[in-house]
Amino acid sequence: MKQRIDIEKRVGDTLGSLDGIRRAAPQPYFYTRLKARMSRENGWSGVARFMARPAFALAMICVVIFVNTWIVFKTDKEVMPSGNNAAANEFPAEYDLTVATLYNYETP
Amino acid sequence: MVELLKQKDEAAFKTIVETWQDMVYNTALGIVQNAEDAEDIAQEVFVQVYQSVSSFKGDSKFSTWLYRITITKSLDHERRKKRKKRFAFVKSLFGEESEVVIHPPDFHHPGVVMDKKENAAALFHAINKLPENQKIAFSLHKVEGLSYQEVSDVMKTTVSSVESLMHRAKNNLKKSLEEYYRENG
Repeated sequence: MKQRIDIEKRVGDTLGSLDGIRRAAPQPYFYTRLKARMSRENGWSGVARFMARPAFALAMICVVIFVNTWIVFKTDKEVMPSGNNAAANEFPAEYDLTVATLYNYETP
Repeated sequence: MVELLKQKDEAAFKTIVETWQDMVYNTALGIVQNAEDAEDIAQEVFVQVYQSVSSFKGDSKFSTWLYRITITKSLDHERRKKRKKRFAFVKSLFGEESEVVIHPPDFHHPGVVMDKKENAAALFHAINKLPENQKIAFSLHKVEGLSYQEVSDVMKTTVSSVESLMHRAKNNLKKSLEEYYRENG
């Protein structure tokens, strides 16, 4: 019982231990250190920080997807030009590929 | 002053830093409970203030805006630290060598009265175990000395929500301290 009262008192004292607390201050010359940090970060680390932004990463993904899509469509058009079907039709005729079955081939 | 800072005026920036550095540092210190980390966070806060002051529209007080940035940075720092600890623990399970996780000694806030230092260290230890929003409300009220109204402005909530957070925080602290004193005599 006595121990319980002791603990309650200690808890009460502890909860009140921040009463009258004074504000902590950083070490002197905080502004000088801050300016030094800012001038360091203005260089490449600033660029790196900009590139690490999610918005930048998302924009880069969009650019890559757009370039890939553009290349795929462009390549498709070059491989299958619409006006060059004549050459494609001449190919089976030249190599006699128009024969439908083996039976047709043996009985002309 | 804020208008001058928006024009990247160096003298205005210096005045703002010197006016608010103690407030920012003390708030960060109450949350991260480490002097070096608090200094680092305070610097980060002012770098962000300099870079994004144009986004400050003046809807709230400048100090409220500063408190919000400080709390966000401090919580990010705490989350990063916890993530590192977890990662080191998982690595140690697989037998990989990793940095030794050092348990920090008791934190002694420099603003606490000498005869209350020991009790305050136990209290800060218990505060560290609180859920994030209870920890923020309690720190702003007890360490920074803000009223419930000011805490609610910073946390973008109502005064009654802050009262509820404080009530729950005190109950959790009581439980945690009772356990601590029972174990440590």
